[in-house]
Amino acid sequence: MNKKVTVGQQILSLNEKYALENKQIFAEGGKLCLNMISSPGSGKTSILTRTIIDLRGKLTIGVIEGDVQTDLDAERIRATQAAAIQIETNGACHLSAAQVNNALYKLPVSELDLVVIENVGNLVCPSAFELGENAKVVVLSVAEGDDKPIKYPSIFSKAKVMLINKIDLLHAVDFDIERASKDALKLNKGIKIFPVSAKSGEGMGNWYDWLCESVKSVKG
Amino acid sequence: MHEAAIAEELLKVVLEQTRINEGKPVVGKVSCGYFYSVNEDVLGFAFDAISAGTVCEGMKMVVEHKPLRGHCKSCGIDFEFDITNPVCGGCGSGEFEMPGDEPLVLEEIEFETE
Repeated sequence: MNKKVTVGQQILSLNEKYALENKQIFAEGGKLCLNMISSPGSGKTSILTRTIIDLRGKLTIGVIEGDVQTDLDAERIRATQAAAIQIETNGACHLSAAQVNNALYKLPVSELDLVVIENVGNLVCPSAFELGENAKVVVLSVAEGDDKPIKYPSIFSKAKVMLINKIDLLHAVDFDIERASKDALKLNKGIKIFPVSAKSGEGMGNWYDWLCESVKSVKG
Repeated sequence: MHEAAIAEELLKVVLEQTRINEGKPVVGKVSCGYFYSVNEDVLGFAFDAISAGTVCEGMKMVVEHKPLRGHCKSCGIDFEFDITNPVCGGCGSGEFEMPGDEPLVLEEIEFETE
């Protein structure tokens, strides 16, 4: 004889609790927080280092770096003189809100306009964990192929911005910006799409305009 | 493989339940919204790995995926939709509100009693 017991308990509620706490920290301080998600190697850190340098004097940016191992990315950010905290997940495929909460106490948040969380390189798992961010930014580099929005719909349907990076390589790969954009817009008609090259700087101005505008809107 | 993190929390909750219920837990029913991206096989594999040697060893996890829902701003109906085609099932409008994803919940545990 088996007995069925109703439980009805929410799982990951601890993550939700920390995500809410992080959200409050950003809201009370009037800070913008972005959760940057992509495959490994799409150029998230390169986009950030260029953004930090080009917007110096306009926006003060702090970064929380998530990687499975090493603090190489935090070092790259610190080389621009910006504050960076590295989280090493030791195998975990995503950042949790508790890890971000802990990192926030180490960042000089009150001095920042914008906190960027660079998630672990992975197009699937990070989209299931809210971190308390104002918006998700998905990065897709042209070398990965233009079919990624339909193959990994969750993150493209949740993100507010899609950066199509490495457009300086377009001549060398078969990436159709129109196709990738059309597919992303079908999943998410509000998504803002900026084709950029963190290497050459092409297109970065549109991304900067969006960033400055969004920082302004949370400052109230 | 974020299912490993989910399996860890599930194990904690099931172990708590074994203290207040008689018998050996054999089946857990989990429900969640689309965006949790929980794969039943992967969750089962992760749960097997971390529950080995506990009273939960051999327990099966069954996942019910709740559909995405929208409320149409044009015709006012509530509808379910597929992520690849986010439009109102009634009038075809793409203008709708999403009440948010369904939470991840351990709904029920089946205990084997003598």
